[in-house]
Amino acid sequence: MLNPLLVAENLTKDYNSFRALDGLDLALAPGEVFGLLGPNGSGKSTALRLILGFLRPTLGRATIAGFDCWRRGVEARKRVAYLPGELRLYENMTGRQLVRFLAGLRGDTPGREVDDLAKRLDIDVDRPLTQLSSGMKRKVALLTVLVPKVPLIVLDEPTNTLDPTMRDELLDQLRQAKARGQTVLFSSHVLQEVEAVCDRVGILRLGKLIHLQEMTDLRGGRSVNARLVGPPPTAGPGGAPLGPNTITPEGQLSLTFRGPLPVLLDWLAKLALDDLRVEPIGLTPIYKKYHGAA
Amino acid sequence: MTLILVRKLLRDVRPALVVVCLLLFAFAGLWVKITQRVTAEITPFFDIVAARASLNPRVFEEVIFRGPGKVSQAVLGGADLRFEQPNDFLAVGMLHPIVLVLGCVWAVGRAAGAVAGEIDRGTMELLLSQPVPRNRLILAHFLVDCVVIPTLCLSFYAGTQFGLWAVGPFTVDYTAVRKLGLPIPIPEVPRAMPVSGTPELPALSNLAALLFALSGITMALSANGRSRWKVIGVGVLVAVVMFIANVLGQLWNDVEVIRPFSIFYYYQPQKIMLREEWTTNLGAVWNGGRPLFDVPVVGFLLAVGAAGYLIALRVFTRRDLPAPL
Repeated sequence: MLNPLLVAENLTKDYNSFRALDGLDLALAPGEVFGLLGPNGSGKSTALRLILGFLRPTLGRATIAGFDCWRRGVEARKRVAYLPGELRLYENMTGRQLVRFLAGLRGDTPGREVDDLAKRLDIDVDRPLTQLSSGMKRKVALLTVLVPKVPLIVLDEPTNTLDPTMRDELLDQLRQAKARGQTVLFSSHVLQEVEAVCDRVGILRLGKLIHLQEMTDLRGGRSVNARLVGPPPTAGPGGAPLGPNTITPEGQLSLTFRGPLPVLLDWLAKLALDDLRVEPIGLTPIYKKYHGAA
Repeated sequence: MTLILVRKLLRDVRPALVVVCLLLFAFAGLWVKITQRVTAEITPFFDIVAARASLNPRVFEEVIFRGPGKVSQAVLGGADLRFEQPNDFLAVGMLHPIVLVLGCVWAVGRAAGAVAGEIDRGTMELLLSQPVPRNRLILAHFLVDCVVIPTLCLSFYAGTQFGLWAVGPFTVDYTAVRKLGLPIPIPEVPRAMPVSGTPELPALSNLAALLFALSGITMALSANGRSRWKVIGVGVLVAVVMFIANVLGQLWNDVEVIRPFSIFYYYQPQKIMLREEWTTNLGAVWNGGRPLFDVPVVGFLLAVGAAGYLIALRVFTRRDLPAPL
């Protein structure tokens, strides 16, 4: 990858004898949206905290725009906006005061974009934070992340406590960030939202990055589930051989197809079917492969 | 950036600061009234009774305050004070447990909240995800101490000045003694006693230095902690142990060698106020009373505080930032 914005090289973190992150190698390009997936304790937050310079790596290093996240953390963090998973804000401030305070620490003075974004996110930024619900506080925190136009946005489970409408709004904001050329790195448990916005995902298990997935590969494939009421086919779509478990004795057909949609539709049209479901492959089967039930 | 942090930190402490300042102001004002009562009403009574019994009035003072129990030293902390003198008694106000407790609780509580409290509340992540160098945060807290501690001391001074204005001249009142009908000569004309709060101002630099020392010690603990209440617990423990060590050394000569290890040994504002003595000679406790070397009390306490801040700086810039509890 040419000129990656974020690079992690053998990034490792030990807590005494416990290895929380084990040799993470990763490079994110400018304008890429990358999702980190994994259950609790898989190392997602540790990876993000190392990238933000909160933790000192035991081995390896992470850099943002070439600046070491630990040794030159200030330079690195000038290029990052971060939304923590465990959200705690200064409760004695209003939303506007918080945005101004954090922007002031960056040497910025936020302008009209605060009100514009607040309107889109449906927040009253002049109310004290102590009077806001947890969902509203998360929106204020999102505002603090979206206002500075930095090259990298890091979000730790950003849709926690957001209602479905605001979740969609957030995902839309992430798409806009990508369109502006900002890189987004976020961790999540919710596969659907990762599928919706990410260009790539990484799956972590016990501190190790065990799978990297280009989402374009998944989007080109479809899973087919149908119930046959006539004779079973002798070959798959486009004449491809059928796997041994593709059709059950009860006539249940399940297969994954990668190829042009008309080929699949032609093949299906020749079958006598009682029921049919065709879906994008999605992350669920891949996630299940490594972590059981998604 | 530092200025923004300082402004924010000052805003955070403002409510508590106002309360503690008012308490110190009120106590200092009240202490003036107590001083007037003792020096202008009670002491003359002892003087008359001593005259009746043909005793030197100093006998009462020697027995009650500087006798075997060393009450004045151990409880009031005012060694070598003359309690019939208004300024001497005024100086004891700075040594009063209320002042020490208020000051210590303030210094320990604020410094404990500086790092461990931010981590505890979870707001440290929010702060340090911005391009804020960790050393700037410690510097900001140092600057807040530089503003807040003098403010506390000036509140005490303002309270004293207010008290002196409200109480008026210290005039020895013989009315109560006269009512006793003792067969001794009692002065007919009330006697005015000299009193001034101005010498208290330089002496309060010793209080400021003590608070800074405690703040520095607690800051060093806080920089390594993640729970505000644990740091407060340890900070208070350190302060109490040092206070007790100093009191024990005052009560029993055999253990007075431990006193210089307590920061409270270097808290002697009454000497600054009354005799402009800014140093203490360690020979008094380490060399059987023979001179050893002078230690500037304010300078020593400031050095302790500065050392605490330097330790905090070193620890905090190197440590991992744990997730909120």
